[in-house]
Amino acid sequence: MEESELNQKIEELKGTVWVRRQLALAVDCTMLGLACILLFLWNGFGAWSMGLGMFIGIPLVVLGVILYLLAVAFDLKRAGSL
Amino acid sequence: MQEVGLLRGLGIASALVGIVVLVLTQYVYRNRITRGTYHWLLLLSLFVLPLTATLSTTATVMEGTKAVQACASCHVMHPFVNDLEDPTSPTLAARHYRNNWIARDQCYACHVTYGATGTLAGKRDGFRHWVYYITNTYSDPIKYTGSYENSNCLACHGQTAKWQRVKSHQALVEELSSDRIACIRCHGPPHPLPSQRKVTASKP
Repeated sequence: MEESELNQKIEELKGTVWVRRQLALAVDCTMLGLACILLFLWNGFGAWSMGLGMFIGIPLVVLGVILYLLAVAFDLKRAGSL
Repeated sequence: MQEVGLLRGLGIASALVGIVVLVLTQYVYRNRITRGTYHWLLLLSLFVLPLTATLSTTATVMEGTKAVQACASCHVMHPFVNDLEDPTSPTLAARHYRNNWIARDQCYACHVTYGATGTLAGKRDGFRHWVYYITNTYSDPIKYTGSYENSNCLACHGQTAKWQRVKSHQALVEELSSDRIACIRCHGPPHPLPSQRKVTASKP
């Protein structure tokens, strides 16, 4: 295998690892955020539960969605679809 | 309040299904499903369901925080809510409440400050009060430090024939509409004074 081909394979592998890591991070953030939201909605209005849902849960979910979109955009760009 | 219940139910369902799908997709069946199925499940559980949960939670909070029960969820507000529900209380707020002059969301109706930015200002103040409450940085008994705009009263009363018939209202219409004289100067007190509050607020 030539050196340039090997370098290309390594770059592809790095890209795949990056996408997988982004997706894993997005999954963890979203799960944690949804759990906070669920606790708030289940418990009802309370000073602490509302703070947990609105100011921790929603930012975590939004972060998860952004990480997911970044991973998808990167993957599509790598595949030449974007 | 039925809409709030529906939104809350939708939020609970979205969050619950989202968590279950994420756990199963990422940690249980990750290596047993095809790449295509994995991507579709991620689209559902990392985009569609989180957005539904976020939107329904935001809408639940925006609508739910208008209810008297939402205000009563902080201990510091108990004396005011107790006063509202006291059938013998002479305060302006209690009279509005027991006579059903405001059908629902009674705290919000008088504290939103009507106008283009009223709702935003109401939510901003609510957020500020919430921060004081959870950080325990308020002084007890609480005091109203802002200026209470007459538009809160005039939004309902200003156009009624009963209000317009009152001679002092006619004479002071300019002063009242520009907040140079407060409605509660003659019609107060709106809430019990610190010495009259029945339950001492306990800090969280």
